[in-house]
Amino acid sequence: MLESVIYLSPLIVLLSGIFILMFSEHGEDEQYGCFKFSRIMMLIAFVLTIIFYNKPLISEVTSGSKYTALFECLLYGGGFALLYLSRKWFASMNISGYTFCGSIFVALLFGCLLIRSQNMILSVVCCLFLIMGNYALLRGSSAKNEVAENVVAYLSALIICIMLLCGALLVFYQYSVSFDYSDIKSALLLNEGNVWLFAAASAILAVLMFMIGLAPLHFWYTQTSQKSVLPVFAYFVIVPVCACWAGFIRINVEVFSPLADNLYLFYKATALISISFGALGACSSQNVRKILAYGTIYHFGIILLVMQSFSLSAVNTGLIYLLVYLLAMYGICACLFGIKIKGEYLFMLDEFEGAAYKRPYISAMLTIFIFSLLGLPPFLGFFGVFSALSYLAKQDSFYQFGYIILMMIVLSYGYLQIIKNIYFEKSKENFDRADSGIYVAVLLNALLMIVIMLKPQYLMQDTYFMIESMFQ
Amino acid sequence: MTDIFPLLLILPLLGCLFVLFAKKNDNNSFHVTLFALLSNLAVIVRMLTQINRNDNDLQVFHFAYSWLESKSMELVFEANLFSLLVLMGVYIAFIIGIMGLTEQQRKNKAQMLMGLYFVWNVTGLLCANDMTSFYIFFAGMIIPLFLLVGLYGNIKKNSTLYLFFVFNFAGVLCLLTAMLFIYKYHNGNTELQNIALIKMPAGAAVVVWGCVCAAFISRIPIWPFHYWISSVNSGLRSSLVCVMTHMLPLTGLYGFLRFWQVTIPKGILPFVPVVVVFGIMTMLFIALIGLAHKDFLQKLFAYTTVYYLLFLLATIMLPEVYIMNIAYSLVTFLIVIASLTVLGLKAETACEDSDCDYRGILAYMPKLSNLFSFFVLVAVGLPLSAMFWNNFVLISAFFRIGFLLGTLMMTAITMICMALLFELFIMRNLTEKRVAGVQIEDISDKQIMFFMAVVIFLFVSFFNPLWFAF
Repeated sequence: MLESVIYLSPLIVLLSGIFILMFSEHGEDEQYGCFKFSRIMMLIAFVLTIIFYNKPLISEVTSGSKYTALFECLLYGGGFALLYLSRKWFASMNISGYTFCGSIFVALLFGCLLIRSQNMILSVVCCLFLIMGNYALLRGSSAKNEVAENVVAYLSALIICIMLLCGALLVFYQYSVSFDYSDIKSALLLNEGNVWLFAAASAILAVLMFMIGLAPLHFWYTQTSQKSVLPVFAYFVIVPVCACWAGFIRINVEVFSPLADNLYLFYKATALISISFGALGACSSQNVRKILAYGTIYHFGIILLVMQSFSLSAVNTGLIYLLVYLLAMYGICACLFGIKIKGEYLFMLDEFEGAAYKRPYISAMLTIFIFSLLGLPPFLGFFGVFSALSYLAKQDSFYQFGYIILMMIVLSYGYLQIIKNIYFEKSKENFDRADSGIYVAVLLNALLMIVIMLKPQYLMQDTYFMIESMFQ
Repeated sequence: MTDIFPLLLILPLLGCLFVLFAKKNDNNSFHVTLFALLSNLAVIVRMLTQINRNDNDLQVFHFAYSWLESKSMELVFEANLFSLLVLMGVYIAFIIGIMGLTEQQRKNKAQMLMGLYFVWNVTGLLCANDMTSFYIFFAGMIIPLFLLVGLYGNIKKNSTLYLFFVFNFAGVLCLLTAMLFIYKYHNGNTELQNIALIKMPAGAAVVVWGCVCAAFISRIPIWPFHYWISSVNSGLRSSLVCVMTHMLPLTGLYGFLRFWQVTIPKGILPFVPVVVVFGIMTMLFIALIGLAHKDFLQKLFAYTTVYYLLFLLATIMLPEVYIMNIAYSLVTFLIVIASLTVLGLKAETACEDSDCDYRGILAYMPKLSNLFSFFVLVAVGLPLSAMFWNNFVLISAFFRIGFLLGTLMMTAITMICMALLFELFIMRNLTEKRVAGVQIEDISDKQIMFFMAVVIFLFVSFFNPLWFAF
């Protein structure tokens, strides 16, 4: 009993953090206190998570491994960095940070549970809470009318997701009389070709793909990214995405593997649509966050294209690409936090004009992270592109290989627009002084990337051992 | 003999690190860059002195870095007489480029940093002996060049800049495709000389070699892709960036030299005449453009293109015994174009800053005029440097292959040399009345001494191209 409570301690810490944030006073003077408290609670939860990384949080329905620990580290790292970087903005804008901190705690709590879950009902609940967390954050950050329209659209999507997930759960229960991953997998093996089971699995996967932001379910992702404030944008591109990918991979490997042949074409089509939408969308936008959001869809399309068979080597390759993307995106978000005018973070391309003359180091790092996303050596992104394309070549998927190359050239135009405005245009505005905290965050990210670049086996080989246990 | 070889790759990176932390608006970054370049030049000369010229085995210096702690990703670097000579030419050209910077430009940290980073990539490319490291350095150099051209160029249309990057990026992706196909059939990284031994289906071989050729051609301005490099050159006012843009085709040419000489498969031999025809057409076309242009730097661009294409065709068509002739000629060529770029920019800037007409501008600057005339005469092929003998050997080899081929090449070279001489005549000839009271600052004594050293270096190379090493 005591042992179970100890293993549950990270969740207890996060849950108590949510309750304290909900019921504490939302005064203006409490801004810094709220962020400080959240950081301390998060740090405690993180340390406990690492200590008990291979223990089940809730016995029978969760399990821990190096794979779950990796994603939990990324989740906590992203959440901690967000709290650290956004606190000043909330204070300067006189906006309550309680909803933001609370949403991050909700995302961490249910994200960690989703990563460790081995029970379908728990995974579904986690998904719903993550969507609701996103909804709360969108609602909280909607200062403008346009955002409110997106909130309504997101609410409609939320209702559809609830219906889909409930329907899927009912079908699974009817065939397996349990929600355990292994029982559902057995049911899928026994009822091969069953349309209802396939539909239920598709519903679960569609919700996860919606949360990840894969095309054609990406509408909320790009619309909210272009209009929401920077802390919320950074949250959307890092925190829920990280948890959902981990859950998506685990469900595909541990539960839906009997459906792999049927899902193959579905994933391929989704991946190719995402790659096309992502690359073309990034070129047609004048909003930096929208460019980055479309770029994200492109990168996620590549990950799905590589992972479509969900074999060990496919997942390993996709994971390498995902990790590279996440590290670059952490860096880009940290840099965007450092470029602001009169306390406001910037949206449009022309607002970034001449940023390199006023903020040379942050602009240089932003450029490096963008080139890294394009896969240019010697930056870390090279390993992502190298492993993904190398895998496709080995699989004789030459058309897909060629298509990625073509779309990469198209996408480069979108990214180059950001660099062009930062470097090649004259500065019209006075950019604010960046915090030392932003420099620290960017430097830490850069150091991490340098270490991995010098010792790429941490990325290319160790991830293999991390996911191996899932396939046993 | 391999002790000092890794220094070649370490010194420019160390230089980058020091420049990064140098003070702003100070000459520190300039001094660090110059020191890093001179140190590496000293290392190159030292390595050249260690080479036994009578040894037939060209590959002398070697070191490997196990990047992924497995044989599949071992980066191998090797340097031989050829690559060291070209490297020496590159370093001297860069030193000339940064010596030509104005006082204000020398204080620009970003320019120095990206210049050194570019040099590091060129060094790595010339020493790379395996597919992965070759790709890394080939791809790495487009970033600093794109940023510098965008920052210091005067490109009116943004689309030109995008095209410049996208065109180079497409070339990089072509090489990546070739590399990954080689990985597929070899199960890992491979040394460049072993690529021909990899067994792959005929279709795959055509894709691999097609991609390799496309990647290198993307760097050499062969018609109809010649536009991007000429357009990024226009309006550049930094001698260092100008030298860098002139250096980019060298990377494509070197790629052909490394891959073509030993690894050309039979599968793509039928395509060789197409490349040759396009090469000669471009030479004639660019030479005609050079004659028509009224700007010295544009003429110089035309000149470099014609000569790069000459070296490219020599690589493709001539036997391996001519490789050292290409190297000797290339060293002189790189030094001459860097010198002409610096001196030409000085003359053009003087013209813009004063009320004087471009015609006869050199008459106001006698010291610059003498140096400029010397370098133009070397460029057109007079017996003043190693270029004379070696180009003579290369062109006579072309005549031996075919009279028409040799004639067409000589026509292109003659036209472009005429263009340069005509420009020299215009810049020196003061037919109009000299504007009274106009004082244009000539080049400084320090610069004269520097260029005199370059002149002596070139002139002695006429007698022995390796006089400094043996």
